[in-house]
Amino acid sequence: MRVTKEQLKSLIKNKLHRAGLKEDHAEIAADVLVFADERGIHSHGAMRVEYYAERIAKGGINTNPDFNFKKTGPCTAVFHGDGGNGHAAAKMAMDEAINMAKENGVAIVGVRDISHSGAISYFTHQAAKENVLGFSVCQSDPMVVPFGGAEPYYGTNPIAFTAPSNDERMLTLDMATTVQAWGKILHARSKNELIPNTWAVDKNGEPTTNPFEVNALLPIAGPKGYGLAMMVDVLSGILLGLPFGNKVSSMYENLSEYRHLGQLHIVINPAFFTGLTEFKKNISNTMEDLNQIKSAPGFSKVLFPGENNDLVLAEYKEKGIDIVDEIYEYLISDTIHNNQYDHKNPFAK
Amino acid sequence: MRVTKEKLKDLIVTKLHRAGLTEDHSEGVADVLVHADARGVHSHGAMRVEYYAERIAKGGINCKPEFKFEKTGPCSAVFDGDNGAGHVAAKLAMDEAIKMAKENGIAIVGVRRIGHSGALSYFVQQAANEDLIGISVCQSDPMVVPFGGADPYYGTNPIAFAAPGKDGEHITFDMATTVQAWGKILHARSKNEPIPDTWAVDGNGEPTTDPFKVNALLPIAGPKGYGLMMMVDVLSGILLGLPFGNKVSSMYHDLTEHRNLGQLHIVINPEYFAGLGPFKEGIEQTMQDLNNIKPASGYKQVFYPGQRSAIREKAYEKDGIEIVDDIYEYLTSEVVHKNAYDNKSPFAK
Repeated sequence: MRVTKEQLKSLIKNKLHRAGLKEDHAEIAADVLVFADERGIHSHGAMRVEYYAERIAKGGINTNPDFNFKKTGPCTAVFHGDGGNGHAAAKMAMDEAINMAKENGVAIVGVRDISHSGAISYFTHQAAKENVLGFSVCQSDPMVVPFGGAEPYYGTNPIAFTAPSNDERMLTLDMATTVQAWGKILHARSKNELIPNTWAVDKNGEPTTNPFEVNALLPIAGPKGYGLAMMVDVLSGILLGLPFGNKVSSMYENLSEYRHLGQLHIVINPAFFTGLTEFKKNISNTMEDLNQIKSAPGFSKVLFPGENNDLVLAEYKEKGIDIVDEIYEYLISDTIHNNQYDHKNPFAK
Repeated sequence: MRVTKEKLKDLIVTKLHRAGLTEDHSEGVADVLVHADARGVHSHGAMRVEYYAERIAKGGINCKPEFKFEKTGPCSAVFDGDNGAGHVAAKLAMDEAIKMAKENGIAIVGVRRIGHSGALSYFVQQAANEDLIGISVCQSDPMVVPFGGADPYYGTNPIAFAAPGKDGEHITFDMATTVQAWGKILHARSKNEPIPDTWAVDGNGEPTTDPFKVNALLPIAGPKGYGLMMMVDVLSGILLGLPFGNKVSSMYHDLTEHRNLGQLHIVINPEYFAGLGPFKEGIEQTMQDLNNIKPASGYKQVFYPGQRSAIREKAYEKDGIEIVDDIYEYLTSEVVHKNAYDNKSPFAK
């Protein structure tokens, strides 16, 4: 089903508002979800709405949060989310971080006690649109084994980074620290297909090709992804005095409880370093350089990080965003939720 | 050959001083190299001395640099290394970053125009030793293909992170963004052994198991490692107005020329967030939690990031640091260098 950006945003906003979110929070959440869908990152788009709606309806997201932004120094602050909607809190926290970085060169803002905030490149893009560098990391449900472990400890703990160029294009990184997303395992289950032995492990911590035996995901590059996941948990969990490691709440365990998740934004103003013009010129040069690199067999062109999403964005602008029919039907229906996401272990569907 | 830390440091200081560095810069460099050897990270220890000595002797490292430290805001600054020894410049820059973070909560300090600075874990541990979080990233010679590329663009572009725990036990993480180090390929060449097909590519960008066909290294996890190295190059190169991407100088290309490399330190003071006490408790708890995770088949125990280096460090303190005999002989000899490292492609030995 192809929909325009505006249609999709409207549908999502209405559903979340009907579920109980205030209109302006629903608007921001819809913005963040559409940002993902329109770039082809469907895992963080409209497919999340029903789960959010169920959580909101059951009281697991504070629909009237007392958001509180507290500066702790010229370049540091904490945004208290009070159990409220993550998309809204993280966006507002980034707005503040951008202001601080514009004024004082750099800013680090912790976002405490929120629900799932969507694709975090949304927030780093906010920064780049204002000619500053954006970096963001956040916690997520424990699903990943430490290197050499047989039990999960960390979440998929994503990292995002965006830098502005001379035109509206940006260099973007937005990655989970796992090899593969849990969604791909579910997909393999639904098709009764094998998975590569690099994605996940069984109860004994052994890599498995059987999606039904999966007990946890693997970090990228062994100890490297493990270290990165640790860094994210320290920066967005421990640094903010929040539950960390395997004490982070699970998405589907109890939809009537707050998630208490953490996120951290770091914003750097190039004007306090080499200068904005020089900086953006060289980002554009980087993009050109990378596009000119000879490509490997099987690749028609080398893309700069984030360019693959730009291509999807352009196609969708022309033809409409491609949304799974069932999701579309849910969105246009009157149903808030079907009570299907509660009391499930992290690895259920 | 087993040597004590003190003996090794002495030998390195003598050699570098003889090559032309001032005594205290020689000490500064030796400190960083011994830190690496003492933790078993031999790739960044004494084995680098002969190359540094050759570069110093030929004028490719400024022996009398005019270091300049310029604050640009309450939490940002640039340290200009005037192409002196990277280890010394990066350490001094980290000292300043630590002061700024203690005073104002965070600090981001760019280190511009330096030579190779050694293992980044040294600098982030400086911060952890002062109860602060340390992050450091730096550029390196173009040796890595972008995802889908057949020619190198980025360097191994490492990322290091350290967080203070209780009783001086820190969590330290230090990784290159490539799957494997170039040194391992050289090692395979010397033994005429095949390499796994995940480490490197040939001239067409195809993964190869023949170490002699290697034309470039592969980033970890495809587009993820590529995005991470892009982020490192932007933060420690473009942000500081330095040569970036494939314009970064090559280590063995011309030892009479300055490297003009860049590095970036980020220091975060937990007092401006959750508070130092709760933070360190969280780190200690993380260490215990991770050690208690059931290990996977074939693993005796799960270690927290950096723990194995800490264990090795204690073992070496007792038994002496293990140094390759050839390197020891070079260090104890009168020879400054044998003209072995100049005018070579990055991939030669």
